[in-house]
Amino acid sequence: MSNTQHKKILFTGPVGAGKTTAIQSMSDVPIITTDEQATDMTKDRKGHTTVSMDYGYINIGTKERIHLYGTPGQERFDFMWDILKNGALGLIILIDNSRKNPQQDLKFYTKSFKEFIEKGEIVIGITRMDDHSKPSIDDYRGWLKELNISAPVFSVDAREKLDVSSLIQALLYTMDPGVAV
Amino acid sequence: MSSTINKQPIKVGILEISSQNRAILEFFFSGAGKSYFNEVDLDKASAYIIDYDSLGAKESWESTFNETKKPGIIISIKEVNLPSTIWLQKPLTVKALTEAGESIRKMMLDNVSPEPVTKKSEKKKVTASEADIVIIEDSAEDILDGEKPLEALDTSPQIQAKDINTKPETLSINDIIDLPSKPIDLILQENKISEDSNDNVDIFVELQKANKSEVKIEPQEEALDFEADLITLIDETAESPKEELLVVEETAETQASANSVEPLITTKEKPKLSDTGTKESTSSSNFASSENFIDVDLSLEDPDIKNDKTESEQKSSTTPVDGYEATNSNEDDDIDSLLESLISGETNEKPVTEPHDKVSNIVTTSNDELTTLETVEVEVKTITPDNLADIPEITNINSKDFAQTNTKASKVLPKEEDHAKTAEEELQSLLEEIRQEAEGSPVNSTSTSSHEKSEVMQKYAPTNAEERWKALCGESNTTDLQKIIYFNPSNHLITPLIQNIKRSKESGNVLRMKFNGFIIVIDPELDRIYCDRDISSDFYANICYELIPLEKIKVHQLDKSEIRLYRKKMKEDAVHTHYIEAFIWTSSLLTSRGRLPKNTNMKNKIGLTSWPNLTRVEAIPHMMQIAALFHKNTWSLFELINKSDIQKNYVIAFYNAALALDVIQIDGETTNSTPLDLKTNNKKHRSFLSRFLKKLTA
Repeated sequence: MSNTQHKKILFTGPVGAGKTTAIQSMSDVPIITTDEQATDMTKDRKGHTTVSMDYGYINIGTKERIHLYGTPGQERFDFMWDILKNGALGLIILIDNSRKNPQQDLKFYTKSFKEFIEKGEIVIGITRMDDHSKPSIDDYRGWLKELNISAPVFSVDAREKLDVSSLIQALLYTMDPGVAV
Repeated sequence: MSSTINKQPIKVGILEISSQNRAILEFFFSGAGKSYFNEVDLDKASAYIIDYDSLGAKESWESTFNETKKPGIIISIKEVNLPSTIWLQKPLTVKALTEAGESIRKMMLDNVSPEPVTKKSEKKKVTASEADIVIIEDSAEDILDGEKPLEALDTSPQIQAKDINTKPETLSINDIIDLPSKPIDLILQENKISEDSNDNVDIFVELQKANKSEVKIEPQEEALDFEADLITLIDETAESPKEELLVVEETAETQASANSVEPLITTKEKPKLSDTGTKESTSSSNFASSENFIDVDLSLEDPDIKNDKTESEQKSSTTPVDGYEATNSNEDDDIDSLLESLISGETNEKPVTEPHDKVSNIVTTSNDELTTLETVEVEVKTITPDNLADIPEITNINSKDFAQTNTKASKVLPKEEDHAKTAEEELQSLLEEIRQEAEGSPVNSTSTSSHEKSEVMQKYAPTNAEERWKALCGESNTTDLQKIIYFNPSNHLITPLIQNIKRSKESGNVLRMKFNGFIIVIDPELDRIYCDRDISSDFYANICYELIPLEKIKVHQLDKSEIRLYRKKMKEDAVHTHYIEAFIWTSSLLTSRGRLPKNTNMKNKIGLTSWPNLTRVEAIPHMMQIAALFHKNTWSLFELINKSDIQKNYVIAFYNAALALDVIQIDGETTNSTPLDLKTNNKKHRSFLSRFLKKLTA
């Protein structure tokens, strides 16, 4: 694999948004995750949480590989974010629609990863919309306009490979709309 | 008061009234007001109740009174002084209603009432912000006191909003029980319909005259729901007159004004994509605000109203022949040019192949009994340049002449017999029908799960998928720009669909559209649409594609119990339940099938203001790439089709769907943005992305 070309895509978002699940849905191999039992307020949302990163990959032929990294959701592990975002091809932000203030989450993560936004290498997936229809996709579109961000926003089920794949496809087309399949 | 109770209840008929106030009256009639009023049919009524703030109420009262000379209770926010009437100020209270009952009874005994009587609510001077609280308190107290002698009722006008504010939960079952000498029998019944939804537990409360010893009490939990129901019910009386005017069942007044006033969908100013050059207003071709989208008449049928239509209104009625026959009087020029071009064969070839002739006949069949789901298959020829001569002159599609002189049209158009029912009868049957539908199974389907829906949506093997794409995007597999077919969206289901979705979202009301037994329920809160037909079926494909008499579409605003029923149905029937955006997307594609909306300028620069929610809409080829191209830069349809390898029908299909979703922005003909040369990007990078995409889409 010494000649293998490596690229990476980053998944970020708040605790419980589905980053680990999304990577699991796409990865060609069982993912490596650094889950620990949650001890803080995270435990109210789920028993275990990612403390360092999630990792999986997609092989393209034999010589290319796309690495999929998931950032830890908790802000106190944000030192990992800078490490992970270095050299990433693009960013997928997952927002949990069932959380108290998804708008604030959106603001926070778009601000934290603004370098991707400036380069237009970002897509946004909203999870848990089936159970929580509000805020709507239209609300997110409005909020993004307020933030002067232009990015695709889709509702996704992180467990569905098709949904996560659509997010990645949108990311790739956003980077180069002229690309032909 | 005791002597009063022994008297016979007044036979009262309810004229125009909002659904909320009707609910309050029904609640009152079944309980505290049982001894005062007995609701009967209008022809048997000794007196009437009318909500004077409702559309058409004034006219209704005038004609009723002139005809019957019977007294009435007029409910209104503003004081109404009319002979033989009692004015009841909103919000309604039990006390005011009982007093009104006494007064009307007296009026009937005296058989004369030269002077109007008014019954104002005691707490009328609260501020708007306090109104809700006052209503809750006021009404709750009144309900408790409903059977007390009027003189025993505390009529203290000094109850301050502030006081009420401090104890809004004054009503509980225990309170009711503990109140001394309240001859009220409470029977709480849980409505089992929504047993799976805690929020939707419906409690029917019957307040009946009885001894206290007869009181039956369900568990305390239900008592709380009872409170909530009461509060909700009473809360709704605080609606503003404006809200009441938004009742979607349009009356003669709105129907008459619909054609003369500005369209319901108003143009929304949008940010421009660029700041240079002369640009066309977005509204000029935005699907939802396009001039093509006339405001269609969505009211219940009423032959009298139709007869009253002015000549100009008649001219503006649409004729269901699309693409080849103009439909509005102001489109005469277009018709002429269209006919010329058809004769010369320059444009407007035969519409996209019709693979569903049989089903299309069903769509265009008018059924006398719109309340049934029966359909009759009749032969309807597709209009082509060859049979163009058969097309009747532009006329009012409702006119008898038109129907009689054109057999084809007579099958499409409503017959006079359709209008035989009175509005009241129709409304009653409509309400009954809604409940039956919501409780029953959808047409041609049984209850389905999300999993089954997924299977249905994924049923397309490659060949089937291609067939579906043909239905969605048309068949043209070339980039030949000379062969563009245009259509007029205002003649299709998509126009009222978008209008009603917009209305529904703005008002928050759940609306139900019905056309020939085909139902669409729009629920803005859940962001879902329930459609009783499979949208992947030929039937739905054709109902979108075919021209339909839009004035036959009926729209009804669902009440709470109906909403509950439909939501239950949506939960159980995933195949027929769709995201609103996905439903618009598919409907728009099925309508256009590779055609462009009339008046589209293919050289206008176009951009996407937002990406459609592409994970939830029906997939068409290249949609992701087309979205990215329009999002990254502004293109004209002409440029994009020329410069990319994407087939024109997919570009046009995407454009139509995005236009219907209101995410397209027209940027005029300027070339302000740097044209994106699709062939000069980093080849190595592109090659990698291409391989990655292949892997993802494999």
